[in-house]
Amino acid sequence: MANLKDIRMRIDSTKNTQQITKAMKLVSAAKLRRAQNNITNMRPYAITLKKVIANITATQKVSHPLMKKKDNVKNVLLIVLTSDRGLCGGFNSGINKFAEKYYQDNKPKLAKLDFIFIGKRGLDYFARRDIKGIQSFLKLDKEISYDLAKGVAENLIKFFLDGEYDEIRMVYNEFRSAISQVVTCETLLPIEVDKPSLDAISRQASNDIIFDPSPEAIVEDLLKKNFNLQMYRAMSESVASEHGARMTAMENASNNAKEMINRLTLTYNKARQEKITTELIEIVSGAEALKV
Amino acid sequence: MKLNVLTPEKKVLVNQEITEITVPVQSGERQILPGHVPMIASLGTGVLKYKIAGSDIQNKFVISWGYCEVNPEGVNILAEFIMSKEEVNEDSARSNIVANKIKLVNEILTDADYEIALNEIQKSESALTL
Repeated sequence: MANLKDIRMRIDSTKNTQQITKAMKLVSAAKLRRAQNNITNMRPYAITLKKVIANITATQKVSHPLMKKKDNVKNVLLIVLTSDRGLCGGFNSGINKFAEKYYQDNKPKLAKLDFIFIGKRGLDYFARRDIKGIQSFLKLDKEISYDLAKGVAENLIKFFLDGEYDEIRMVYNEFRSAISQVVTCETLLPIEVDKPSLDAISRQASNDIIFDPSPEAIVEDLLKKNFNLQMYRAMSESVASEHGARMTAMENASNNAKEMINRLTLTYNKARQEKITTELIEIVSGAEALKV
Repeated sequence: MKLNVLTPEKKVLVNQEITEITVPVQSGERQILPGHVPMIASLGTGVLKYKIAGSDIQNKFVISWGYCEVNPEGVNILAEFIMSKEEVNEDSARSNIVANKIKLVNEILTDADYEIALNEIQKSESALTL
């Protein structure tokens, strides 16, 4: 039986840990709300933009190099989106495992498979396996902004148009809810445009649209904007997922700490009771001895 | 006629009833009144003006790089940058103009950077006219 002082110290230190995990949970909850707002604010923009693109491409029969699929995919760029900090459950390890498996499965088939790491966790994980990315971005959760996403996206478009890569894919955590995040792998480029289901009347109407400047120039710009937005969306989802995952992890940690404190308190009380009983017996037997 | 003004980071106006709107397009300015034919135009940097239904006051925004879609229901504006009068800081706008003008004159810029600097000047100048 550990002595009373040891047990008391353990209880105290567990209490401290519990306080920290509780605080972290609250911070994550606040950040999660902000990140969720980000996603909902962006949704109308994204939906309108997609509709416009689909309308133009369907009615004006324009195509664009960014939409051209290559038959023989040889060079692939994989973007790995993780967080900078840990303590968020399986958030990062899920992504890293997926990316590593992708690497092992596809490396022999492809001529070139390169990585871009966004977030420190992914960068470190692959650095330990001697895989270096061609670029990396850190501090996503603090400085997430449309401009940052735009910068990354413009870089990617350049890579793709220069023909350096035939396909650009991204793995990230899609935000379902605060407790559920799903590892997703998406093809970013070439861009896939969904076919709109236009009825005859609206098709007639869209044929009469005035374009200023030409439809081709507008499609080019819209596609790029849409791509920037996709990037921003993925980043926002990843940040929201991170906070969601951390919130859940910290909630669990707080519960575990509470359980541990209960257990320790019970042991402590038992030990204390035992000590008192022993002392009483000693006194009583001492007194009995004196009587005789 | 309904007006929606959206940026990737926030909803500025949603389903606002308006009577007229003037948008800065790349080739100049376009005024849109109810019943305008469908149009898709790419926006330049400048001042967006609109009148809310039932009021005669002209509301203004500085806007930069975006899209304007006119359909029978109304006008959708997708902008990357938008600034209202309350957000304008005159001093920083002026110093921004000066800084970018110096950049244009003294530095050798790539085409893209040249355009960004020009755009910054235009943005700040429009902000000062609000």
